[in-house]
Amino acid sequence: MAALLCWCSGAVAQDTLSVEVSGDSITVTLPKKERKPREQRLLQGVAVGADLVGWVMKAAGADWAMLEVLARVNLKDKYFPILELGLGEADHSGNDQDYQYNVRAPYFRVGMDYNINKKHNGNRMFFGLRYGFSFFNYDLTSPTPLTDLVWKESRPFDYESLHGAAHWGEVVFGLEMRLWKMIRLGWDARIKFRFTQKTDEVGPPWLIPGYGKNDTSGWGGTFKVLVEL
Amino acid sequence: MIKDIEPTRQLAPLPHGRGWGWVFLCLLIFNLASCDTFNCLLDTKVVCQYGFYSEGSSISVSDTLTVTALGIDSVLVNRQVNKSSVTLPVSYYGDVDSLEFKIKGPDGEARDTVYMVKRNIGHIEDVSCPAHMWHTITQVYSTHHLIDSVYINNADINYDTQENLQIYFRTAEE
Repeated sequence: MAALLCWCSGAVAQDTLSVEVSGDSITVTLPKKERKPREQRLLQGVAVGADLVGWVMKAAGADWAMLEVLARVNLKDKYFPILELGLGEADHSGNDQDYQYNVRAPYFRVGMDYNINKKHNGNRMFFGLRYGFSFFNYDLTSPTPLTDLVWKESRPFDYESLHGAAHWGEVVFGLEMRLWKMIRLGWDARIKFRFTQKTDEVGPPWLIPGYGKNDTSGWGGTFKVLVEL
Repeated sequence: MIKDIEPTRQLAPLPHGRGWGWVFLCLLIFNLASCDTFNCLLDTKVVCQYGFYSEGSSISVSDTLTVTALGIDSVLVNRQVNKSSVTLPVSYYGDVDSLEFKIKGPDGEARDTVYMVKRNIGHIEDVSCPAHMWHTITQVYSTHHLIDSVYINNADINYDTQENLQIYFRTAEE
């Protein structure tokens, strides 16, 4: 004897539990949980990427570069909490080649972008904020010794592993587009404001990893490739 | 007769979404290619200022004053008169500077040696600027033929032009 027990109408079987008894066997069908469409979910994706500017500058032989990667979360295609981390490098000589600045240290930025594009067509326009910091060691050296003309003594100007630290904020504006499937391409421009810095009494760092040339404010940008899952 | 004015030809707008990318890239390249514009300080003398005092107030040494750096026998101040202060160079690397103050008057001359113990460190404002040595005075003492005592007024010898040491001369009664 076959019997069909159903707690609810078969027309709405997708969100009901059904039990079917056939001979000696009982088949229980659990209700299917209907998944929200992507555009209605809170978490709509995770992306990782890299800034190409730093790698291009390093390949071109520039005397400084920021090698940077990032990880980002897509919340409702509107809010994008982001973590950017990188390695700032500089091997810079002064105009007269007398003094040299060297640094190679990591930096970190956290923040969030806000997508102001109302159309969810894969293209995004961002405004964002970042807080960045770096703790680093730097060298100030010279190939020629510093000479005391009165006491007639020369010694090398050679100060290595000087301690430095900096904290700063950034205001970001950027555009981003879907290039192919999960691959995205974007750029942004940033205005940077240095909050605090700690430098050695020998001299300030010429470049702060992650911030750029050392000044109270500055600007920069990224040109990045992302993979969004 | 009014002629129809031909509308001026306008440039085609940048393709939507593409033009700004190129503008940004050009600005970025311009920024990276731009030169450093750090302005080095012009007044970067690093000297130690000595002020002359007696009984708590500034005085001028009316007799002839000569200051010599001992060890190198270099005359730093030669036969100056009516000086209430002198600015003297500081050795870049020495731990102690020994300076002999010779005061010669109509009644003869007297000499005292001032010893300045210090810490030396290089300083540079920017890699495009010249470097100098800065100093921090840790101790100062002297002989006492004419000098009663020497006080540290400002221990840091750098680009700031402040009086670093105060030399108190003995009074006639002492």
